[in-house]
Amino acid sequence: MRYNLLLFFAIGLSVTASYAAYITAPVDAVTGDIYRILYIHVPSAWVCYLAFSLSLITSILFLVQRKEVYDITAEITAILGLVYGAVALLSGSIWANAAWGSYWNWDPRETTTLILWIAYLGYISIKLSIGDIERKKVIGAVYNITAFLTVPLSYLSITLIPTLHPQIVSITGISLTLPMLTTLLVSLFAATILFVYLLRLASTIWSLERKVNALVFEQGEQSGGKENA
Amino acid sequence: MLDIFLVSVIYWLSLLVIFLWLNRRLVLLTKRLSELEGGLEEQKKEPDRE
Repeated sequence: MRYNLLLFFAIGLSVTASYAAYITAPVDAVTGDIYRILYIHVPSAWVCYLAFSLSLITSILFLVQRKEVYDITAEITAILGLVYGAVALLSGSIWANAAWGSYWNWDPRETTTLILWIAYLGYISIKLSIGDIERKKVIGAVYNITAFLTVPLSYLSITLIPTLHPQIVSITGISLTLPMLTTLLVSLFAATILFVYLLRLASTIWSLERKVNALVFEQGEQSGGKENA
Repeated sequence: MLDIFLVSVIYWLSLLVIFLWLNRRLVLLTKRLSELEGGLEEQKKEPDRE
């Protein structure tokens, strides 16, 4: 019931954010309507960073406490982060084509975000390819912590390296008007709530999987015991 | 405007695919769990009959 409430809240907020982004937000004086991609691109990138940050925290916690729940949360958040990262990359390149005339320009932000995405794809590959369960968890956690270095690299690339990528927040101030900023904040909040819902749903599935595995084992033990008797 | 529409489709379609995939797994696991629990109860009853 609580999950459904969270889902309805997330949907309601997303509908409000979409209405504000496509209908009520004013047209940008320089780029026109194309800037509206920002209301999907920025929340996707934010959730991607948030997911990978959670993945880092849970990987560290796994190495310290060796609890399976942290390993699984690190994996779930990395998968969700990859999906949101892919949306951020695709929406960014569609915007780049409209604004700069080419889908891919090897701009520092584009390149570092692609490196980040590939680094986390490597994490999932590790989790899928190593057979030994305990080794897989430890190597995965260590790799995940190392892969996180690409997150600040991607985030700071626009301030450290000369780039074409627009900066919403900079030393000189915020480059959005108040209605645009409000719409962006609502979109960010809606995307975060949706992410929390998906994370909780994935965690529920994981705990059900554990229950099913335990029951399968118990049934096997019982039928094995009968055969021996 | 087509670009904005395309980006919206990519975003919502990605989220919808994850949501449907997770929901399908949830339904399958809930079904499997009730089957297993039913089977386990029967197994526990069988020795009593014997």
